[in-house]
Amino acid sequence: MSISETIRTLLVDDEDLARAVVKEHLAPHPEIEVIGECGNGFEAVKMVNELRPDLVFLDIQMPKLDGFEVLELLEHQPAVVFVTAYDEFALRAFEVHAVDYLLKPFRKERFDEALLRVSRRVREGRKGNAEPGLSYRELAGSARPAGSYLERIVIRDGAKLHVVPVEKVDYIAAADDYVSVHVGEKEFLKQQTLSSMEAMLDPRRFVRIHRGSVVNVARILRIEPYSKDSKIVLLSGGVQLPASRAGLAALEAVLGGL
Amino acid sequence: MHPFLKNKAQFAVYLALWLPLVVVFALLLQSQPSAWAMRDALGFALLAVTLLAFLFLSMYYVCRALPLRETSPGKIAGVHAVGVTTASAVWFAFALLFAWLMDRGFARGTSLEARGSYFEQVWRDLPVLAVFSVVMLTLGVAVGYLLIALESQRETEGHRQQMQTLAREAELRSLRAQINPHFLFNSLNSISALTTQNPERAREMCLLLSEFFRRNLDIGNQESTTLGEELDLVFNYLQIEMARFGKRLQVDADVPDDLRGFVLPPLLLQPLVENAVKHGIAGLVEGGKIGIRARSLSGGGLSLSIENPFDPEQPRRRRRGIGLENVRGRLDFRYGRDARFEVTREEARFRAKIQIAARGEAAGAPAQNPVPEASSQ
Repeated sequence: MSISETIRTLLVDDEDLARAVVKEHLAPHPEIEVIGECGNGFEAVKMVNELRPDLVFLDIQMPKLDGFEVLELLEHQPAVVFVTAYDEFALRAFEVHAVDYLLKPFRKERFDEALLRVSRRVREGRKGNAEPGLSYRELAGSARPAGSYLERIVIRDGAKLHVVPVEKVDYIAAADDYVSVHVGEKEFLKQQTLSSMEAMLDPRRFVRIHRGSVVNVARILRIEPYSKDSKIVLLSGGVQLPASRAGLAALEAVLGGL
Repeated sequence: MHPFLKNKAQFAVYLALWLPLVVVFALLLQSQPSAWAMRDALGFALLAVTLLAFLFLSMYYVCRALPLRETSPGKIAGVHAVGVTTASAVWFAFALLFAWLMDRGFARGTSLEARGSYFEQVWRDLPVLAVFSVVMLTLGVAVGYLLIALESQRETEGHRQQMQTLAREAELRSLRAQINPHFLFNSLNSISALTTQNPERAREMCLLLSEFFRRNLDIGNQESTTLGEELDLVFNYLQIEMARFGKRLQVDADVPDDLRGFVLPPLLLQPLVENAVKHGIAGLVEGGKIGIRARSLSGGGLSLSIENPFDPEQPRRRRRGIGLENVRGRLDFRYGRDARFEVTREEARFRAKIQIAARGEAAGAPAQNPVPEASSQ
């Protein structure tokens, strides 16, 4: 690929007018080619994975999936410029290595500055100079504001996307490089380590009872002795999970004494 | 009116408290050398003590006329001495009258000859009766002042509570009147887009936004508004949001014209409609319809409901809770038990319902007493 090639761009915002203003500001830049636009998180994930754009203008508050959840589900890593009316996500945006963060409404000069940063980033990427770094998938998950926890887990399953509210999860088990999220009869695989998943969940609601499993405390039916040193945790779905001594201590801390 | 007479039950209890004295008084009469027949003694005691109970109450009015703080102690002592003496004299006169009537044949127990004249006995025992009545009536004066003190304390307490309630309501209202900055930024972004695309609509949006701000400022300073005015604000707001959301935001309002004059605390509907847009429509790809409905309730009340679809997979946001609590709190302050606020989530529909039983106070009048309980009940 040569440097002179165009920057293929996707616009994601649920408001027509908001997309229109971005498009208008892009018009004087012939190197930018808008290859598509969409108005919600689901479509954004689909379009990025299919069209593989170089650049995405991404709103944060959208139907279905928010901007950060979209990033978590991408197979491909385009340069991202967040465009939002909310300034409180700026820190998180840079933690996931967004190229820029534009606050609505923005000035033309400010927009052009963002484009300058974009072309620098895209050029470096094409030269192969970009730091390999972590993927959006890993960054987006861990970039949470302090004191806030995951409310729902987003999972890509081939072309399908699943959004699972955390209160519906029974337990999450480690499976090599993946975690399997158990929701009733269903099981979803997500590429993530159990430890990083555990760190994103509210420790008052989810407890790691064993090296291999994190359990939703609300689903626990009872705890029964198993051997001298271990116990079995029974979940309301009938599932039985072994608990280690450390795991039991952690449960005890949350449940306030057993 | 005397506080004891304000309510029948209370008055009955007061009289019942005197019953033991009737018995004591009757026994006292019986223990005299020329014994009264038990029935006569009880009858006489009942009449005399009941009369004393009323005279006891009258002391309260004397106390009212002589506030402790504003009257010199000498005057208080003097006036009450005259009061107690006069009341005692009245009591003696009636006691003698009762005795005389009993001698004239109302007493059936024993013959006049056999027991001697009740009238003469009462006359003889006047010093004892005097001590009895002076002690009781002085006690009446003390109780009178006690009641006055309690009343004024309750009054200041009630007044303070009312002031606090009004202050709190004003605070909550001013919180509501603060316009969400994201609404402003998003609207300005829409205007920024429209200036080149459709200058006329851009100007229209500027005007709508100014109108909204002005209305919001006005309404935030008012104690009360009418349903019509509140709806004007709400529609003003919705028109701005429609520019942003386009076809995704639809509104279905059903408000009979004759209800537009209903008086309400301001900014009750606006936060609910704002929630419906922010937490309902904004989270839906296809958007949806916000339903606003007003109905009259029997007895002149009002029922309002705001309905909107929402995405059940969207995590619940805390902000919505704060807005709802604000509305609930303000309804509570203003109407107490006369208003109800219900929120229901059914599948993918959210509904907030306000019901106000009493017809609101007249427009422009100060807020009605928000303390719903009368002190006498």
